[in-house]
Amino acid sequence: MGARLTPRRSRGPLVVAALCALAIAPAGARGEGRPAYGGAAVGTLLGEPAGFDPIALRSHADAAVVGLLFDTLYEVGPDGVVHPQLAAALPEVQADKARIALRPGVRFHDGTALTAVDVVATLARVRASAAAGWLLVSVEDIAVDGDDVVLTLEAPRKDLARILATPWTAVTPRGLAPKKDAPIGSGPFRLSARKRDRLELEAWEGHLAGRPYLDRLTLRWFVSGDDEAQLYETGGAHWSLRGATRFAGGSPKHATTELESPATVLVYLGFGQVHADVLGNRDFRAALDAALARGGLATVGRGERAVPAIDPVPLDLGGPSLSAIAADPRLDVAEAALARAASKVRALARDRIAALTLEILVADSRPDDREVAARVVRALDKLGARATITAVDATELARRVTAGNCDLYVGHATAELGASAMIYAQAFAIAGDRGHADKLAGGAITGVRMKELFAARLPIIPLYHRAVRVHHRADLRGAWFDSSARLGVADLFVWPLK
Amino acid sequence: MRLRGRFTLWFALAALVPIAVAALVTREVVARSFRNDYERTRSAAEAAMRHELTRLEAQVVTAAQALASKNHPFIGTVLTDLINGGGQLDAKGQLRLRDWSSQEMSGLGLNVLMVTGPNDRILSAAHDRGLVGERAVEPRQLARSDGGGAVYRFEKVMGPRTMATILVVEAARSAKDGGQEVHVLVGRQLDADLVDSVRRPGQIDARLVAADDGRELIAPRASWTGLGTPPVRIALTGPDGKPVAWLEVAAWDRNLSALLDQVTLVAAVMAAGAIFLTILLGAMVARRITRGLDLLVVGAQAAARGDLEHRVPMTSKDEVGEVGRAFNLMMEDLRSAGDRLVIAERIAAWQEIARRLAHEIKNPLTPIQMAMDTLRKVWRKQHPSFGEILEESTTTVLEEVERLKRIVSEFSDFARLPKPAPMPTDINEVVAGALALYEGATPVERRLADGLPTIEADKGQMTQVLLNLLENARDAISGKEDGKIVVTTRKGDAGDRVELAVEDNGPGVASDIRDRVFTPYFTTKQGKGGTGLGLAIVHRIVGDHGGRIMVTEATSLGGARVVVELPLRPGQLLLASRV
Repeated sequence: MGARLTPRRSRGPLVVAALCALAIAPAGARGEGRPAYGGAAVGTLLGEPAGFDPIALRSHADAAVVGLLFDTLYEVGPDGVVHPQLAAALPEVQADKARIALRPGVRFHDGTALTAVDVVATLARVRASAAAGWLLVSVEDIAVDGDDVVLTLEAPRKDLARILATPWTAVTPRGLAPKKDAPIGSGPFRLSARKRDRLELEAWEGHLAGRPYLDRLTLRWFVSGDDEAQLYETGGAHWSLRGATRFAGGSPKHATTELESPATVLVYLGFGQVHADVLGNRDFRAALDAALARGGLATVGRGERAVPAIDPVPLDLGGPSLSAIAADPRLDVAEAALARAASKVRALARDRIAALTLEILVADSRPDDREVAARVVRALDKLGARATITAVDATELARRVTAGNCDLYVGHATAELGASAMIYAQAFAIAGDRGHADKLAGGAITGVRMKELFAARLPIIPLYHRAVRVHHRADLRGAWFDSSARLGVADLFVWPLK
Repeated sequence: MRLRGRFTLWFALAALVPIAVAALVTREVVARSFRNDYERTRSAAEAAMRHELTRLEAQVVTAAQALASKNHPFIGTVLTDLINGGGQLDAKGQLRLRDWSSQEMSGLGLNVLMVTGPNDRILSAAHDRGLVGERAVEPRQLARSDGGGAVYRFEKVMGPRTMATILVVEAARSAKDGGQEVHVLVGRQLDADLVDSVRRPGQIDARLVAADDGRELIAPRASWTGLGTPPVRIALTGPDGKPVAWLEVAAWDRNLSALLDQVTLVAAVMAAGAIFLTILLGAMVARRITRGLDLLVVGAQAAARGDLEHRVPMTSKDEVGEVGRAFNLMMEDLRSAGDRLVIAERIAAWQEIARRLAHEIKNPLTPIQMAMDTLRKVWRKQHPSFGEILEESTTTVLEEVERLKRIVSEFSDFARLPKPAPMPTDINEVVAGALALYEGATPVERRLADGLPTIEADKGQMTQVLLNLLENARDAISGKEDGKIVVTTRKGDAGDRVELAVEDNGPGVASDIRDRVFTPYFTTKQGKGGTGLGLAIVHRIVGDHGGRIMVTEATSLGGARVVVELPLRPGQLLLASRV
C-alpha cells in the first residue's frame, strides 16, 4: 500500500529532488530515484499472513498483504495525512450525513467495475462483524446514492476518513469475503500464487493509481529467524525485516539501507477460553501482568526499537512510558493479586496452582514471539504455574484464537487509528468485548477513564511496542513506513533496472 | 538289592561324587575371582565418575576465566560498549552481545552462559534469552566466593516448549574496565552423557538424585532393587557447600549370581547326564558281568534240581567265563557220576526194593510154610485135632496169602504209578473230598485258608496223598485218647506255592529217621499193617507234581508234621524235597 499524491507517471520532478535527498533522508522519509517499470523483488513479511479477508486481519503481515491486494476509501500517507484513494474526495459531512463520492473507473482484478454498491456492501459487512464492527459503531446507516456512498452518523466524527482508511474497511466485490486462494481486490497487486512459505504477486495493470513499478513481488516468511537475514545477506532477497546479516558484524552482499518505522506495532498477550475460570479472573491477569519482566523485552528482535509497554497506546502516539519499577517483575504485587484470585478460583490456591498448566500459542513464522512467550512462561513460573509453548502456523493460530481454543497467545496489533480511544477500543475488540469496544470507539468513555478501564479489566496484556526495521538493497527505492509501521511496498522500484 | 543294581549304583556314585566336588570347587573359585573383579570394577567406576566431574568442573572454571577478561574480544567489547553507553548497552551492542554469546556458548560446549552488568542486570543469557533484562545476583556472588571453584546449582531454563529444571556445574568470574564491571557465569549441564561415561550394561550403573527430596534427575538404566552392595555416593555441592544432588554409582554382582547359577545349572545338567550315562553304562557292564553269574545261578539251580544235563552257555574269556566252564565240567562229571550214581542208585534202590520186597514176601511165606509143615505132621500122625489144626493152618495160610497179595498189589501200584493228569484244582476241595473218604475215628480239624489260588494237579492223586497222610497220622495217634489231627492249607511264604500240612499229636518222627521215611518199605509200623510204601507213593506223587514234601515237628501239637508244597505255576519245580 503506498501514498500516492499523484499517479506514478507524473512523478518525475519529485524523483529528481528525492535523489538528492536520498543520502541524508531520515528514517520514515520516502525514498526516490529514477523509477522504471519492470523488475521483480523478493521481500519479507513480519510473519505468515493468516488470510486475505480484511475483516479478519489480526497481524501486521495480514494488514500488509491486505494493503497490497485491496484499496480503501482513504489512505494515510507517509506524512500522516489522510488522502482519498477509492474516494474521490474527503467526506462531505452535512448534519448527520457524510457523503463520499467515489473515484470513477476503478476496476477489480477480474475487470469488473468497483461501484458504490461494493463499498456499501463492504461497509455493511464491517459494521455487522464482531471483529471490526466497533470501527463503524457511530454509523447508523450506509446507503448508495448514485455513484456516492452516504453514511448516516450518530454524531459527526472528525476521524471518519481515518476510520475508512483502516485495512479492515478494504473494499471487496459485493462486500463478500475474498476467496481463500483467489482473493479479488482492486489493489496495486493481485495474487498469482500462494505457496507454503511465500506469496507471489503480480502488478495489477488496471490499478486506480496506475500499475506498480514492479512486475512481480514475492513476499516470504520464515520459521527460523536467522534464515531471513541469511537470505538477504547472500543476495536472495531485496529486503529483510530481521537484520542484514545472520550474525552481528557480518556484511551483506549488497549495499544496504536501513529504514525504521515508528514503534507502533503492539505485541500483546491475548486470552483464550480454555481455562476461562482462571484466565478470566481479573486478579489473575493482574498477577501475571505484575510478574512479567518487561524491561528485557526491549532486547527482543534484531535491533529494531522495542519499547516495553503496560498500555496499548504506543509511546510514539502519546502512550505512557514504562517506569523503572514496572520494568522489573513486581512479585509483591503479583502475589497479592494472586491471593485475591485464589480466594475466588480454587485452581489458583497455593496447593493447587502447581497442577495448572497453561498453553501459549505463538505463530511459528514470528520467531521473536517464541522468545516473548518464554518470558510469559517464566512469569507464570514465578506465580507457581506451568506453561507450555505451542507454535502453529498463522491460519491455525487465527482459527484457534477466534474459537477461543487456547489459554494464551502472543498477538500483534497495528495502531491504524492513532487515537487512544480507538486503540483501547481495538484492545477490547481483540478480547471480544464489543460492549466496551463500542463505548470507547463511540466516545462514551474518554480521558483517564479509558486507562483506568483498561488497567482494571486487562482485556489483553500489552508487552511491548515494536518498530519494524527494514534493511533493503540500495538499488531498491521507494520504501517507506506508514504510521502503523506498514512498509509502503506499492511504490517500490528497482534502480537501476537491469 | 541285586548285584546288578548295586553295581549300577556304585557306578553312578563314582561319577556323581567327582562331578559334585568339581562343580562346588569351580563355583567357589569363580565366585571369589568374580568378587575381586567386582570390587575393582566398582572402585574404577567411582574413580572414573570423580574424574569426569573434576574434568567438568575444570572446564567451566577455565571457560569462565578465559571469558571474563577485558582482553577477551567478547567481554572486552561488552565492557567498551558499557563504558560508551554509560553503563547501558545500545541496541547494536545488545544484538552483538546476543549473537556472540550464542556462538561462544556453542563453541565452548557450554549449556549456560550469562553475562550480568550493572545492578546485576542480565545483559545476555545465551541459554535462555527470556532472562535478558531480569536481575540475577548469582554471577556476582559466585565470582566473588572463596576458592572460585565450580559449584552445582539447579537452573530453570526454557526448553523448546516449556521450562525445565536442569542441574548444572557452574563457575563465574568478573571482568572490569573503565569503571564498568561484568560478571560471567558459565555452566555445563549434568546430563545422561555424564552417567553414560561410566555405565556398563549389567555391571555398572549410575543415577543422579536431588538431595532435597531424592527424586531421580537422571534415572538408572536398570532397577536397583536387590542391589547387593549400597551404591557409592558422590556429593555435588552448591554455593553454600551443601549437597544439592548426589551422584550414585552402583556396581552389580548380578553377573556373579547369574554366572554361579549358570555354573550350578551346568554342573547339575552334567551330573544328571553323568548319572544317566553311568546308569546306562553301569547297567550294560553289570549286565555283561552278571549275565554270566545269572547263567551260573540258573545252572546251579538246575543242578540242585538234579538236572545234570543243563550247561551254562559261557563264551567270555574272563574269570566269570572260567567259572562257567568249570561249572560245565563239574556238571559233566556230575552227570557222568550222576548217571553212574543214578544207575547205581537205581540198582541200589531196586536192590533195596527187591530186598525189602523179598523180605516182605518172605514174612508171610514163613507162616505159610510152618502151617503146611504142621499140617503135614499132624496128617501123618493122624492127630485127632487134625481138623482143628487144618482149620487153623488154612486160616493162617489164607491170611498170609492175602497179605502177599496185598504186598504184590501195593508194589504193583507203586511200580505202575501213572503220570499225573493235572488240571486246575482247588486244594481245599481236595481236602474236603479226602476227608469225606477218611474212615478214621479221630475227627480232623481243618484250618483251610480262603481264596487260595488253584494249582495244576491230579485231583485223584492228591486225594491219595492226603489219604495216605491222614492214615499215617491216624496210626500215629492210635490208642491216644486225646489224639488230634489237623489239616492246614495256606499260600506259601514265597508266594509261588500252596502248602498242605497234616500234623498230629502222636509221638512224632525222630529226627534221625526223618530223611528215610519216604524210602520205599521204610516203616515204623512193623507188624502193625504198614507196608512201607505209603509215604513213598506220596513222595512220588508230590515229586511228579513238581512239589516237595518234608517232615517236621508239629510244634503246636507236639507230634509229626508233614508239609507238602505244590507249585502254583505249571511246570515250576520247587526245590527237591528234603528227604
